[in-house]
Amino acid sequence: MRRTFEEVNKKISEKKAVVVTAEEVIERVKKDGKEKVLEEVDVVTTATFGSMCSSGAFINTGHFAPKMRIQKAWLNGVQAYAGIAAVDLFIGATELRENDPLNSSYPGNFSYGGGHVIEDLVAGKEVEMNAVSYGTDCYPCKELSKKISLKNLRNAVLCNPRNAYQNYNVAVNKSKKTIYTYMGKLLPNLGNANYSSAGQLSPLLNDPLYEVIGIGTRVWLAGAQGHVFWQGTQHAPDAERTPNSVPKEGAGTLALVGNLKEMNSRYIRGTSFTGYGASMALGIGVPIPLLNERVLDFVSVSNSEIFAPVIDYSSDYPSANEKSLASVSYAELRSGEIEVCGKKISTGSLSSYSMAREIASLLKQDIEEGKFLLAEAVQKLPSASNQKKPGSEKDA
Amino acid sequence: MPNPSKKIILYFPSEFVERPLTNEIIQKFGLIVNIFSASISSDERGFLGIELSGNADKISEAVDFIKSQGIEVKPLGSRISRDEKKCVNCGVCISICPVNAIYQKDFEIFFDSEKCIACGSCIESCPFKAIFSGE
Repeated sequence: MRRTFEEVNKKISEKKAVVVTAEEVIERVKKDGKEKVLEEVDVVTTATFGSMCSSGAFINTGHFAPKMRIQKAWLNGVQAYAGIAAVDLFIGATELRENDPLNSSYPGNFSYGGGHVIEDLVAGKEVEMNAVSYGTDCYPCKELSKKISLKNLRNAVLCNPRNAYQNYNVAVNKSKKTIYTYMGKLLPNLGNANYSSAGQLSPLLNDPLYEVIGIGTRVWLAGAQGHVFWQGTQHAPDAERTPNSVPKEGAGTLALVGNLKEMNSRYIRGTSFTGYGASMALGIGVPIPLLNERVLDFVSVSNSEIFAPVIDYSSDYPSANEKSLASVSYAELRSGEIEVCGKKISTGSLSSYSMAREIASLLKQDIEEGKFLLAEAVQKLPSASNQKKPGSEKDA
Repeated sequence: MPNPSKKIILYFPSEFVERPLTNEIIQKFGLIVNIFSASISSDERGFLGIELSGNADKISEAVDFIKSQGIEVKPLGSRISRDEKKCVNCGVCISICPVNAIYQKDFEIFFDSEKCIACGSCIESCPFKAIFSGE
């Protein structure tokens, strides 16, 4: 063990912690060697920014007079789930407006959804709430129409069942017609390839076996300080991996929670996918303390060592018969062109590397200034069953 | 009164590149076809900007015919602009552009207005609604 969480936090509190981003650490190791980096650097910051479905916010509106047991509610026309308690709602990122024409005029625009409602709230805009109920002796109000805003809500908590996917598919279209997917517009005959990961900057790709990031880890969530509260839904640690333990396909995920009232609308935005639906883009940063050499090896991973599967979204994906047409590195994807089935295809990224960089730098700055302390996991996420357990290194 | 006319952009996959489509339109529908831009990109996708003039009904029949051939048809838009506050520089618009008018330098997006044909492909591809037609 080179340093403990306690030691790192002490240095952060004294504003003496040395922090680099997961991009900078790659160059530092090349230039100075592992030993020097391990000696000098305390924390490496990782980050990602992209559309993340399986996100949403719990809202407690507070009671109005007369009181109401909200049965159904809409925020700017987007239904929020009300089957929780009298004035608790959950607004999901992908919920659409009641009167959205959907794909009736194909491909639909899906211009406003739950993610946009959340963005509007975080941006300080007023949101129109409509609610109905059947009325009870204790909660007589049957109908409510009111403008709400984030500052007047009693509570607003972003609570996302699945974020920060560790690696993801590269989507292509083998068919003869254009298709519209959650991976964007895909042109026929392998006309383009869309991918969605920050690669070498992405949180879980820098901690491939979940040895540092776990339940309780403090994260940077759209500008607020939030936490990992569980493994994300679909967390799949037994994915195929490279010899350096990096998954070659979608694998681990994180469930994240944070105070919506502390977030910044630059890093939480509604998104619209033509022909598919609405979602929400989110910025996440996760600090990884350089506890030992093994952690350094993992955070030094670069785009050329991370591979993603190329999947056909015209037939293989919808029929639940995904087979990888090719395995391509993020270095190739970032170059703007990959080769699949002997054809050169131009690539597009759904995840914003420039925003991920910005977030990794902001988190770095917060840690350097003593504003962001690290929280050690209180419980590990399920890891790959065929991998060496971290305990076998005796906390090296 | 001048003949009705319509400017459209056609996108077609590689197998259409060799097909004399404009000739078919002229013969089948008796329309005047004026080609104002055309290109085949490095990955063999092609696009063709044409103006159809003649009988209004024939024009809409011709457009339906082109669509029925599996070719994407779009009306010609005006200049493309980008809202820099909304843009996150992700780059998903890059691969969709038929004329490679969008590029990324140090992870920032740039539009080459010389190359842009205002087809609007990038507008519908942008999840952040950061690209729009007009100034």
